[in-house]
Amino acid sequence: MSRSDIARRRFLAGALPALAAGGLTLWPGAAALGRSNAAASCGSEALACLFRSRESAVRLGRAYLRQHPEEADQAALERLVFARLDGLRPDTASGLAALKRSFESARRQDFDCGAVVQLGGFMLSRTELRACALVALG
Amino acid sequence: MAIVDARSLDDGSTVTADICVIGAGPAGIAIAERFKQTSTRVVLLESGGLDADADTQALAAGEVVGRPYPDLDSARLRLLGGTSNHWGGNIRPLDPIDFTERAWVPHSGWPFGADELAPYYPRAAAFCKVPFDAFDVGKQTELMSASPWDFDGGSIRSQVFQTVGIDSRFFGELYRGDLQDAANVTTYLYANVVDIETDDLMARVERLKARTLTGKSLTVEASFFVLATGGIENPRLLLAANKKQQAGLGNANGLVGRFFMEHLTSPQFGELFPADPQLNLDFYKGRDVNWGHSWGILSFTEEAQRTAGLLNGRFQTATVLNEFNKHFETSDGLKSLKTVASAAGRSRVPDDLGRHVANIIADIDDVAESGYYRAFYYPDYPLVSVDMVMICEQAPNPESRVTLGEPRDALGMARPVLDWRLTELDSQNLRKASAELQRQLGRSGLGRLRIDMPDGAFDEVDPKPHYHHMGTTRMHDDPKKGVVDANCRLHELPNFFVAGSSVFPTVGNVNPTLTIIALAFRLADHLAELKT
Repeated sequence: MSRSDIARRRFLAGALPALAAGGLTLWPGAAALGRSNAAASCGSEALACLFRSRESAVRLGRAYLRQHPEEADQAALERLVFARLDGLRPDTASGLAALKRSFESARRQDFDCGAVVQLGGFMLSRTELRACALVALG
Repeated sequence: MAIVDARSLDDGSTVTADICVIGAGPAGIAIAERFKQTSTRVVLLESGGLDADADTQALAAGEVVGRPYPDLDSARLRLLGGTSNHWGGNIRPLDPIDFTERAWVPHSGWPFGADELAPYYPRAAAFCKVPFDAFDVGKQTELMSASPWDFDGGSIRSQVFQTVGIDSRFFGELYRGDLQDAANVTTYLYANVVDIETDDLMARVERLKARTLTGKSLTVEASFFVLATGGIENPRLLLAANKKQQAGLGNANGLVGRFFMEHLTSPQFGELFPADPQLNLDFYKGRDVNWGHSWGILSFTEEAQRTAGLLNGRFQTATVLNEFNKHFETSDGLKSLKTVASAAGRSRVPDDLGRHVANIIADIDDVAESGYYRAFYYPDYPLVSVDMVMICEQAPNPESRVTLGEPRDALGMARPVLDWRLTELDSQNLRKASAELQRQLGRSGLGRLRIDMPDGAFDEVDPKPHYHHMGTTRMHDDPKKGVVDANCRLHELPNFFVAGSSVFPTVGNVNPTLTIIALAFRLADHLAELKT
């Protein structure tokens, strides 16, 4: 394993709290949104609410986009992600709880059906990485 | 009758018995225990004495070719109790799938199923002073006041291991009194078997020749003989008994010494980053109990092994990194302290001890500041990550073998040569198993596993051996596929039996000692039937 590989793996381990340690935990700014059950205003903003650390989600998203530059299109990514979320749409009122449920379900399905990506030694769900990529692009 | 120093006998003495057991390790002592205070006269031959002896230990030396392996005279011990004298004490029965023929594992399958050993495992656990119900997951849950992790119907299950307490682990010490007091058992120390003699028709073994390092010779005549000297010495003695048959005893089909297997651990495996920083590790870390230590492991369900074509492996939690100790991660001294402490816990000396000591001295401030316990087990801080270790069965491989070399030991016996080899299946399995564990941890939401081993698995790194020597006189109903039959009898000789892990056709993911003892009790019962 090269030095750059090691550095990359450490970098991603640092970013993992977005998913592994804090996956689907609200980041502080989203708490009020959750309590008021307010509608998500747009795709990336709604998804950003799912991560404890927006910064970590951005890091993972960028790493994913480096591996899949062909997906670096916000509108296309939004379609791909929300297609996996039980019909929820970024431009319609969706409670955060429903979004969280759908996201958890999609993530699990990804692992079940092999829609996963190896990144820096981790196996991550494609949907969650695309969500991170959306946050990064947003 | 007694424990006798064979060096004190008259040269050329002959003793007779109903059963002669060669080797006073876990298997040999278990057989002697089975017959104590019965009418069966048992002679137990031990190469060493009551304590370690350098000259005797040197008889165990041999050559290592192929995969790197610890020096053979450090991996096995010659004294009463045998290799139990540096045993880590970890026990658990094999899984039912380990006994079956698996299409994806060449040469797999025992001649009988798990049911056959079921009555013997509780006896083996009792021999180790461990209650058999301690292996029950429900019992462990109750004992730990902690549940196993919930994989939500996934392919991972939790199981329970026991570590035998230090007072019950060294069978030579533990059962010395019994051997001393048993009226029908005589144990001869410093008696090294140098030849196994058959009748002229090679239809049965008539006697053994033993010698001491002081030059005395001893002949043992018996109705039945049991070879119980471990996975390297068993084939060595059979191959060396070649006066009448050039290939050695029981080796008409060239199988003696083949299929040497170990348990495989990648030096690096993976690190779990828990989703919940308060993830409860208690079930797996376990706790000290009256009989030793009780702790948990993760393994793939049998259905998952079948579906994914996996070898049987287990995963253990190791070093815990939390918010308290995470800044110690970069200290070489603490890493070395962890390695040394971990090895000492298993009564081992780590590879490259000098470097570790130098690291500890160089980083003495970190080491002193943290203290080992505080650095690696300090509780109650939010988790950052947990090192995971994988221990896997090795796929049976006829090219992995023990043979005889040219050099001779002090008694003129050919030294063993160990050529340990893996197959591509072992590396493939490590990659498949790690991906499957990653998948299961991800889908269950428990966390994410970062795989730290190289992509090439065992093509790039050498596995860490466990001093488990298995498979070299494998059991099979067909003489063309096994050295011994289902009763552990040499196919070619009706009164000669083999005990120990050398008869295992496959080895599962568990440490072998409990199964060695269970098989020894089963063999002893069989011998008792034969005798009557």
